[in-house]
Amino acid sequence: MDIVKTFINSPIGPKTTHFWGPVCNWGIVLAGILDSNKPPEKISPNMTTVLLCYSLMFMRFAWKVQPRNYLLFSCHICNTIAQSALLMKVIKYRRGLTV
Amino acid sequence: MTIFVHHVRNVLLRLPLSPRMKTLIDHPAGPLTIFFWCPFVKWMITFANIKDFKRPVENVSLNQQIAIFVTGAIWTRYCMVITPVNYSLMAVNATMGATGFYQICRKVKFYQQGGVDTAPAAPAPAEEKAQ
Repeated sequence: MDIVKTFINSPIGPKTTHFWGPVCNWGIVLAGILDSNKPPEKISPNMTTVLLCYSLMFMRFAWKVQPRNYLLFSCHICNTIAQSALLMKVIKYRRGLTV
Repeated sequence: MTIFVHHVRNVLLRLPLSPRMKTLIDHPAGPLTIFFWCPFVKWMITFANIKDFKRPVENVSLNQQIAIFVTGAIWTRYCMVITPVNYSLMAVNATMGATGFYQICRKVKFYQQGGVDTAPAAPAPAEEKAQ
């Protein structure tokens, strides 16, 4: 219980923006995971590439910001993996079309 | 990466620049730090979404646009309550949320008009050749 109370009152706890911002960013990760089941022509290569770069940069941001935001960091690691998977799917599909 | 940025910083500081430029280079949120480039990347998401306005509605991902809209909306509000208030990050999140909202409206209108997401396309030519 003490750990829970410490977390709730911490500078990156649920009473602060440092918590809810990353929680929203997990939505992008979930959307990416749900979209992996869809056909590849529905994936936007522009958006996927940009989201990949965005996550790479925000991984560094989450590490360097004060206070260090591990929730945001983990969110962007997962987003990098999810968007890379989507991008590989699109590239494979497009290569199949041009062959 | 950090060593590379360090080298760039040292090279720039050796140049005959005005004191104002040198302050900018050494600023804790200056162009050699990640804090400067993060809003820039968020603008790229906004522009990519605007470019995707031309994509057919069937190919718009509702999940992704809802996530973009919610992220943009919440970060806009919170940029106003953090210390110091970050107007540039607020602006980029507001615009990003607005583009997400527009895409959601497009998709909802498409569904209301009886539109259905198209089935998967025919197998790619490479697969046909393999067969």
